[in-house]
Amino acid sequence: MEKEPADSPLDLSHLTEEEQSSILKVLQRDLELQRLDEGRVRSETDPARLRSLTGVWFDEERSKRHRNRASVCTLVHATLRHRKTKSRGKFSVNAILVLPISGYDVFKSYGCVCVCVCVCAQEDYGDYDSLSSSLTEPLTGSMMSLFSSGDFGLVEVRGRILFSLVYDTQKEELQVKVNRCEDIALARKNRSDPYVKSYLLPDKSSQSKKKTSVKKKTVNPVYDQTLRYKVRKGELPSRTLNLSVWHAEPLGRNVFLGEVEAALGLWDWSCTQPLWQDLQPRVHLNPDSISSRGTIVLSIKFIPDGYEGGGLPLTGELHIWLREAHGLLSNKGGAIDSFVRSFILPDASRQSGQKTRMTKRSISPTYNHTMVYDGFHTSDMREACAELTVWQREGLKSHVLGGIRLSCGTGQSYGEDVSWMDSTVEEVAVWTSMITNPNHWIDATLPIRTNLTHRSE
Amino acid sequence: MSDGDYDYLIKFLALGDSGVGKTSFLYQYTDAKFNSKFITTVGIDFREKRVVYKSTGSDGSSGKGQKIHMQLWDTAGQERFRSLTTAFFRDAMGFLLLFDLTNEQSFLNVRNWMSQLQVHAYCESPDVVLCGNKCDLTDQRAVTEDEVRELAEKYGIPYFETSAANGQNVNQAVDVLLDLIMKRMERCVDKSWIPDGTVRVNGPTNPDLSEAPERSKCAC
Repeated sequence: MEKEPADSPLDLSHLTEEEQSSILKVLQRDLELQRLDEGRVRSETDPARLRSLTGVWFDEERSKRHRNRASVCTLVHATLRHRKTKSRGKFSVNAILVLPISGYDVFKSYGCVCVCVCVCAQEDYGDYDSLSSSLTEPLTGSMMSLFSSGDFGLVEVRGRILFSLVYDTQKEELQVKVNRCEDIALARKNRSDPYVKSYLLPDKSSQSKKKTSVKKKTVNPVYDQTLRYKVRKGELPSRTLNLSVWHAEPLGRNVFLGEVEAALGLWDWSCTQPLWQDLQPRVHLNPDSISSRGTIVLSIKFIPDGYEGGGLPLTGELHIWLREAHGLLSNKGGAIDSFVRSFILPDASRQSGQKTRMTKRSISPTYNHTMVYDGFHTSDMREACAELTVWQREGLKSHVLGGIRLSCGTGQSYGEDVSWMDSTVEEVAVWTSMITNPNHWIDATLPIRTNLTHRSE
Repeated sequence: MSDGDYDYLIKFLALGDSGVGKTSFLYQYTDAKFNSKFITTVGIDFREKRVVYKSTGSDGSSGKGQKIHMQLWDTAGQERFRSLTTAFFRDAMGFLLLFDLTNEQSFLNVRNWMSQLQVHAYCESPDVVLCGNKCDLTDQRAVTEDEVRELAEKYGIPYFETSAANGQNVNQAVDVLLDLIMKRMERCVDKSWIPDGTVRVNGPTNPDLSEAPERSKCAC
C-alpha cells in the first residue's frame, strides 16, 4: 500500500473570482447531497449490507490508498475560502449608530447579472448564447441582447408592426395585442422566420419576457396574438413596453429585425385601435445601462478631521443621509418591504455594516436614515468605497435588489486591484464632489443597479 | 429527487479532453437533451439521476430492484483546472472516460487519462468505461473502431461508441458502469464470495482475487 504524503493545500490561486465562486456553489450542492445521504434512516440490520448501503465499503477501500485524507470537497472548500489576512486600509472604521441595528443576515453573494448566461435554460427557439456562469438569476442569451450592444447580424431594419394595447382594470392585466408586421427585413438570403418578443421595461427578467409564435418564411407575418402582463394600473406610467421582432434561427443566434418602444405613461389608453409603428434599429443600449431597480435618493458629506474647529472632529467623518428610494422594482413588481444596507469597503474588520429599519409595503419608501462612519484621513476617501444595497424582505428571507457604489472608481484600493471599485460615472461624480467640497452635503439621485461586481467576503 | 428515498448513492466521474462531450453526455443521460453550443465547464460540476438497478445473479436470477441515486461528476477538460479535477478522482466509484471520435489527439490522450486515474483514483484499477463520443459525425471520424477496441482490450475495459447528440449508447455505457460498481461492491462486502470463474470485464487478472477473501484483503 502506498503511503501518501499529508494533504498539501491545492493551489487554486490562478482561478478567477467568478470561477472560484462557481466552484464553491457546486461544492455547496455536493454538501447538501452528502447531508441528505447521511440523514437517511437505515432499518437494515445485516452489517455487511449496511456497509454497502452507506457507502462505507468505498471509504474503506479508498482509505487503503489515500490514508486519513479529508474529503476532496472539504479540501477545495478550505482552499477557496482561505483568507490571507493583510493589514488592509489605513483606517479602522467605526460605525456610529444613529438608529439601532438588529443583527443582520449574512450578506449573500449577488452575481453580476449583465454578462452572464445560464446553460440550463434552453429556450424553445434556441436563442441563447455561450458564456460561463456565476449568477443569482439565470439569463438566457436572448435577454443578453438587452444588455449588450453585441452583434445582431448585419440586417438593415425595415418595416412596421401593427399592435394595440388594452388595460383590463378588473383583471389588472395589460394586454399587448400583436396583429402583424409588414415588409420586415430578410434575415437569411431570402427568408425570415419572424416572431415578436416583448418586455415590460425596466423589468428585464424572464418574467417580463413574452413571445409570439414563429411564422415561417414570411416578411409579412400575421400573429393576432395577445401577450398578457399582470401589472397594477398605478405602475403603468413607470413602464415602457418594448416590442422587438426577431428571426428564429434554429442553429445559431436569432437575428434582430427591429423594435419599437412605447412609454406607457404617455400612452393614450382611450385609443384601443391598432396602430402602425415603424420598426427601429437598436439604439438605446449601452453596456453600462443595465437593468435598474429604481432610484435611490441620498445626500453625502465628508468632514475632514479638525475641519469644524477646536480639533473636531477627531477623525474624518463620512455622513450618508439615505433619504428615500423611488420606483423599487422587485421581481414580482408592486409594493415591497425593503431596507438598505451600507458597507464601507475595504471592510477588513467586517464591522462596517449598517442598515436602516425595514419599511413596509412601498415601492418608493422613505428611509431618512443617516449612517456615519469615522476614523478616516482625507486620503482614505480615494481608496474607499461606500456601498449601499437595497434589500427586499419576503417572509423570513431577504434578497438584494441592487445597489450603488460610491467611490473614485479606479479599480484599485491601496495599490491592489479590487473588484468593488466599479463605480459608474455618475457614482464617481458624486463621490469626488463630496471629497472636493468638504463638510458640504452633496445631493444625489442614482439608479439602483444590479450589476455590482461580486466581491468575496 | 431531494428526498432520501433511495438505497445507494453511487458516484461516477466523467473525464477526458476539453470538448469531447462530457457535459453533453451527462446531460443526455440525465435529461435526454442535447445542447450543441460549447460551454466549457468551470472546474467541476455534477448532475444527479435516480435509477433502478436490477442485478443478475451468477445463476441468471434477477435480483430485487435497488433504487440508486447517481451523482455524476463532470470535470473540466481544460488544463488550467487539472489540479482541481484530478483531486476529485479519488472520490468517485467509477469513471466514464470520454474521447472524441473526430479528434485523434483526444484518443491518444486516453492513455494519459488512464495513468492519471491509476495514480489518483481510490484504487489502482478502478472501474472505467471508455466512450468514443460523437459517433453521429460519421464524415468527420478520425479514429477507427479497431484501434480503439485494441486499446480497450489492453486495459480490459468496456468500450462504447456513443453520441451525446442522438443518445446512442449513452444509457448503455452508464448502465454497464453501474453494473460493474454494484458487482464490485458486492464483492467487497460479501464475506462468502467465492470466485466462480466468470470472465471479468474489468481489469487484468488480479492475483489477489483468487484467494479466499477476507474483508481487509479485498483488493477491489
